[in-house]
Amino acid sequence: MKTLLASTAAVMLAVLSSLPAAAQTVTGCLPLTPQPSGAPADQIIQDFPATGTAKTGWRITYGRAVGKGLYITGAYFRRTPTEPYIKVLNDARLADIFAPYDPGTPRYFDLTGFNFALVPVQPVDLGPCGARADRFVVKEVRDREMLWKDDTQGRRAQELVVWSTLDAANYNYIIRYGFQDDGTITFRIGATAYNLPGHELVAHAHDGLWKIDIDLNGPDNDTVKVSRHLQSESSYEASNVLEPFSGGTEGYTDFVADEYTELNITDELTTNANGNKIGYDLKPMRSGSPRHFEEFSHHDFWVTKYNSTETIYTEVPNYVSNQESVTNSDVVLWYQSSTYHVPRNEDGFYVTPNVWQGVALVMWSGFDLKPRNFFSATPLYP
Amino acid sequence: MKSSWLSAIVAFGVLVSSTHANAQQISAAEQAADAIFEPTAVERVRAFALSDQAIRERNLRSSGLFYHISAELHRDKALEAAGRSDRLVLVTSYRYEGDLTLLTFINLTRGTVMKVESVQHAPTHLSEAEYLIAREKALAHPQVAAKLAEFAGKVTVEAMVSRSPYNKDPLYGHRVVRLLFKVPQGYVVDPIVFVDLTANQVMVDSPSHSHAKRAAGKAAPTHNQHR
Repeated sequence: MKTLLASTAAVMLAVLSSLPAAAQTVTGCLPLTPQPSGAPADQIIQDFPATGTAKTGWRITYGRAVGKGLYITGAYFRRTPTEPYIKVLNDARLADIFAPYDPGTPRYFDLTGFNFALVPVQPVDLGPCGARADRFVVKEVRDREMLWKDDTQGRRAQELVVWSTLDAANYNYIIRYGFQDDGTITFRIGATAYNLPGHELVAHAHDGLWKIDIDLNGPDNDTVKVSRHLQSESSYEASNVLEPFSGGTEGYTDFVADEYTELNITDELTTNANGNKIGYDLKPMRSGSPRHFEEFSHHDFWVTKYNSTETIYTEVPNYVSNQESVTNSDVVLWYQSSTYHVPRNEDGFYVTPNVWQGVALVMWSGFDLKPRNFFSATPLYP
Repeated sequence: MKSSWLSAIVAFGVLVSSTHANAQQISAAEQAADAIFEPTAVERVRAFALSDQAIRERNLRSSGLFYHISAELHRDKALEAAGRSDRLVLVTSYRYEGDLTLLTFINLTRGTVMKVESVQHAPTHLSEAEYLIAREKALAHPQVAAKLAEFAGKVTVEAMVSRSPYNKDPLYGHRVVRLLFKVPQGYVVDPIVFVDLTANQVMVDSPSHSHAKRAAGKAAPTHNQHR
């Protein structure tokens, strides 16, 4: 056995020595980057890889408030250790959470429905590797499996996650943002805790109503387009088209599953080393598209020109009515993600005929913002 | 500091909740850090006063019920681009008449009101004062009291605003609060209690028939089934 172990270790070492240094597996927890002394309390800097020589990195700031949950107040990405951070987000948040029940009532706005507070961080939240960003917010660097593979070579991917728990009466929502080593940002809302008392067996939706103020290398000169994959059962050929969002003005569009609908946002003035405009794609993560009585839910994507006083998701149809330009402009994306929850036995049980006990396990929805031509070549390769 | 904050609560009926935050011990460092995330107590008082004045000046304050709901930090890119780090606060207020939400954008650094916006039928959370009224009314209702009697002394009352989007619903545009009753074992499922603060009415329903019925021929269900 000992010989076998020794020879296995020798083989592993041989394999590892042929891999890029940063690709070697890190055991134990991935470390958070030490924060500069005197750094603001709402700021987190994280270099990637978390160990060894930094290649990329994020500098983010976040906010939290009663009735607002956890949100991002700035995100800056550095593609190399020597270049300055490039602004990606000015602000990103859940503008609301909508929970309509199938019979038509009740209909709750779970973020603005009461003065819902964040839950203080508990030991179970931290797990073996998490840390408190503050008393309501967890930060953690996670291994997220493989970033790429090429036969025997490869690199493991990493991300900084920042999350908190919103106590929305019977329900809890985990609000989580992930900042990945390749520049991707993930936005997730996880619905959990008690089904609505008195309606604990009634199906309902949990719609995350996101507002994303994206500022690629600054607030101005951003353009939003819709990416559509065109395919047909009557043709061998398919294609991809980029169209101006809503004809280039404020408006809406819908997710079409067989078109792989995405939004593409580019900065008109900043190019990568190949001369291509830097950009990000909004990539939906969805199992369905909510459509309710309320007009704001009739479309999946809305885009507005930035206006500091436009804050209410249900008002988005009014915000777009003047059809300002979202081409070469300062744009804000509004996007609804959704979980449809059909209660099941795993959600709980009646401890007495009149008391319900048990929690629904976490159900996630959200989307990713993924770089497009932000880099001029494969990031973190080799 | 504390007394002025409490004065503001009395004066404006602002939101004060027994949140988790209040329940735990907060260090001085944490309190200082909180100012990054939310207005301080002093700032809230000032923001509510400025908002109150601005709303009155614009004749948006009716004689009916009116509450200042919350004050939150706000940002404005135009100011940031000009290199100014002014302390901005957004005050949200609610007027029962017209189901009107008022948003007052305030520059605390300059002591000015930048803008007041009114939005009808917008989701707007509940003030602590409204929560207390709803709770008191519900718990005083004979049906509710009878059904909660077995849990006496063990009930935590939680609240959520329930909205009707359908303009034919009698509760459309009303300030309606759903109350939940949490007990050590879980949540009480019966009664289902809604309090219509606009009409000053408590509505009690039971799960056995809740949401099972749908009025035939209507474009959308209404809250009537809760009456």
